[in-house]
Amino acid sequence: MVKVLIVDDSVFMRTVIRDMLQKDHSLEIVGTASNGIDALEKISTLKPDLITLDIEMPKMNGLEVLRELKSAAWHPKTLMLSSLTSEGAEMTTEAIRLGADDFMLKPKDLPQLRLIADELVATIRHLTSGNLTPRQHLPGIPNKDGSAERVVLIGSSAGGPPMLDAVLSKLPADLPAGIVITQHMPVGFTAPLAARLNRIAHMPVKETENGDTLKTGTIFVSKAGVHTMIGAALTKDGKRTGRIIHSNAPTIHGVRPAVDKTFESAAQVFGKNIVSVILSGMGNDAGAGASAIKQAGGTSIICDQKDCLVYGMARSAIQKNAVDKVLPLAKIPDAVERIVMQMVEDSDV
Amino acid sequence: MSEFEQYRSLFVAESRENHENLVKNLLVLENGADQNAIDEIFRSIHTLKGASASMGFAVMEHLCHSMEDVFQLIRNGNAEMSEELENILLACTDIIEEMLDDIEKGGDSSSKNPEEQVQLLHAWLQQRGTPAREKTEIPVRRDEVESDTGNHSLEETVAGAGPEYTLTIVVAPDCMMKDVRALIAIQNLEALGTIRTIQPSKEAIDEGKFDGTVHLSISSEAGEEALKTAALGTEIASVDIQLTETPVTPQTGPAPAKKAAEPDKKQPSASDKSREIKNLRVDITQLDHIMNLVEDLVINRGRLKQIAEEHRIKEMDEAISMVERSVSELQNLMMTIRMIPLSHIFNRLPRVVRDVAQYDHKEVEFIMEGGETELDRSVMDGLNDPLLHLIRNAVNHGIEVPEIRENAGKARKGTVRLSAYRDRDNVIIKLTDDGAGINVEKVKKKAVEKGLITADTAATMSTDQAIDLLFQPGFSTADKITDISGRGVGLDVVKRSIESLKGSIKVETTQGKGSTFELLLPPTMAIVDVMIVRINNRRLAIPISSIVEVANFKKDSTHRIGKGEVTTIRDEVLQILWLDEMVGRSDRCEILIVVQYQKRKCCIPVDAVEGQQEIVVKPLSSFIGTTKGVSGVTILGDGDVVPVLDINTMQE
Repeated sequence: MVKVLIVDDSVFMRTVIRDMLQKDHSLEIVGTASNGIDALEKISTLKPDLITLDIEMPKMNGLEVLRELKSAAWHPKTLMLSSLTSEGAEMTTEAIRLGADDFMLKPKDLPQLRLIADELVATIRHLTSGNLTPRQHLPGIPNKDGSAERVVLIGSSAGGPPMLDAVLSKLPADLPAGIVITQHMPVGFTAPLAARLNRIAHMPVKETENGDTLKTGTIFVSKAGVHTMIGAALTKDGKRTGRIIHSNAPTIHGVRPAVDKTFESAAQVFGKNIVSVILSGMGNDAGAGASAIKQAGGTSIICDQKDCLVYGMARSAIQKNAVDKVLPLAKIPDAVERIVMQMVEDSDV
Repeated sequence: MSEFEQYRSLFVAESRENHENLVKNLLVLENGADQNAIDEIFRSIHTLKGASASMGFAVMEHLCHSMEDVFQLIRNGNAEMSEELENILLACTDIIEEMLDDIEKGGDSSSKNPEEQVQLLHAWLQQRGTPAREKTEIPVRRDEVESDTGNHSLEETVAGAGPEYTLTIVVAPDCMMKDVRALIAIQNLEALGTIRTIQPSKEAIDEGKFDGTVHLSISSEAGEEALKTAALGTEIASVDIQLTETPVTPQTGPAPAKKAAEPDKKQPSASDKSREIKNLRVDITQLDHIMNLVEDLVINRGRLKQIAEEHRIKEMDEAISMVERSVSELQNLMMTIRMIPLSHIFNRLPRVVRDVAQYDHKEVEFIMEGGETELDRSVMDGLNDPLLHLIRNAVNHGIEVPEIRENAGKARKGTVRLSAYRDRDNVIIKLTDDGAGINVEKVKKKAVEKGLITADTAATMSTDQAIDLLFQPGFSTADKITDISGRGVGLDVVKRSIESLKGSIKVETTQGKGSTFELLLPPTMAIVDVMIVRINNRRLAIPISSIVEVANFKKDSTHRIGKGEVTTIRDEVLQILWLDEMVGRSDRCEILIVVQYQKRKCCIPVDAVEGQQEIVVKPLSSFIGTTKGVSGVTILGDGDVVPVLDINTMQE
């Protein structure tokens, strides 16, 4: 049983969260706390495995709790539940910096409860599964700072973040390709996501900025609020590589960043030197992108349905007949690495 | 969607608390900056917003979001409160309250339109140079995306639309591969939009007919920055970009999410779950139910006791006295649990004072004391409206406008003081203003005009009697009916409400100095101390609180005055109230119970006094209706149903 403590100043929120978690029998709600001081006390007495933590609270806020926890005797995993504001996003980034293990947005639109609850439970299970090994060595050691000639693209949405952990923690630091992750997220929240992934991956992870050049051994997370497109660029020595272009074009499938935009534009630039991976996600984003990649000669991988919380995005790729491999989550990192190495060989010939 | 509905009542309960806290602290801010109040406000709005977002009440969330934006600035010290802003924010809180009412009834807040207030807030934000945050995008419009299949072609056909830009790209002069650089730039631009014209053409560049400068026009929605980045690259010397025109294009964004119509559902019964380990939220109807059971227990205890006495069973008597102790304790405990501090209704009042004062252009300082005094919930419920009315009156009729006050040698700012305290078995609430006081002559004149009294009566009336006129139905001294006070209801309604709570109201006034309204209330309505009396073999209960004294009845000292009969006790002439109609005439009346309501005394002749007892008053059932002189019934230990007299209505 995973022992969970819910920390939120709103009775309403505590009830909603508790009810969501109670549906899963592997979780046990050991208590609730309505402010930071209360939370610290209960953490030391109840010894929960994980706490869900609100940021805005009276007496002591969530960030102060994280600071206090550093010197506390018991260290539960912390899952921040953030509100959808730019302030909330900044606070979340700060929380990740202070050691919070993950974050999720507070439940919104309760009629969608089931999905949110599934996602929350999946995240908690993932955090407490023990599979989460923090990076052993410092980032960037093998980073040759060379411009990327190959690219790994990952498209992900609802249910995706825990899968990103699983994939990135297994990709080797010296992978000779640039990596771009397009994860559907509200504005402001891709920065904390990048900060969090940076702790898990073997290479530096950052949020995209307009004009960034793709580099081997660097992972980019598409900034929310704009589409990340990959433009062609030539290096000084005439090598072809890619550059991040932030486009303000309207949302596609109701989202921005759209996986399709990133995939399609990258297909133009990198052609066969692309591996795309589609993880869990709702909707049809990624189908057209995967199709473009396949036509350009790249490889398209989707994750097996049993490992996905939602199968919409992967299904859209199947419908476009744009899938080379269907793999369980655990096999994806190896496959990506193998394909990238194959590309290197091919180009050397 | 039962999962959803089950949260509704919890949502409403918590949001009401936050709303109240919000208003309270906004009023604190009126008296100057207070960081603590600002923090409280921010947290309340934040929670309101979060909860309404969770429930999917988009309109309410929208409003709270804008308010949060404003307070974000204030909290960080980047802006200050102003009277203008205070007014906007208070108007917002009014809308929130309406929304909560709507939601409580099963709505989703969308029937209220906060757009005006939201615009004002945004305008305020813009004045401070902070553009209002764009409505944050929701990552996945889940319901919509699912039904999106096959719509992709639509997006492709309109992809070329968008504002048109002209670009001048200059490749660095020392570049070795000018044509390649230019072609990459053009290729990147093509990915972002539709290139309308290009000079020189791609073919020309391909053939090497290129001097290092390309002019092109492109229509794209990607934005200027994206276009510039796309065109820039290694060895591109400069990119000049200009917006040429904005063609009117159909919006390609997805239609605003259509809210699934929320079917009207019955309001769910309030949740009965325990929310906290230390504090329990209990539905008030359950408390009422427990109270009823306790009352039954009290009645049956009396009955058991009587049986034990009749049969003289000693063991049973002992056992009953043990039960009795537990029952008394339980009863006391229940009474305490039902007590809530007056601050529950007091907290709303500063807002009322403020609004009335502002409407009337008056300056008023409102002081509240004793908000911690506790009252039974049922009393509290009935107290809200009368109190509101009295407070409005105090500001509207009592306090004068600043100019008049200054002329009268008073401070510009009037004072209204509301205080509450416990006085033995009663709770006393006093409302004092230092305004003009009641003009007795004006009152009399008005009463004569309204035909309530004759001019002769008016001339002989005492001040107290004249003030009593204020409580007559249909009396109002206000020259015109305003929004604020006197909505067709007068003090008579106030008086009636207070009396229905078994309380009384008293007025003291000094012209030019101000008035005091004093409400005397029982802390609880359910259990009353009564004297059981017997007339003509029937029993009646008279509340002890109305009884002044018990005296011998000397039949020879009665006199007739008009239709009525009077008697004298210690040289005081008292009207005799015969209860013939109720219980039939008795010739064996030996005792007089002198009762008093306000300042009027009278006496009731009875055969015998049986004793004093705490009883539970059960209201008469609705089909009997209200009966003058009887406030309810009680069941005594022997099962006898006894009417409880209501002295207030009996005298009329």
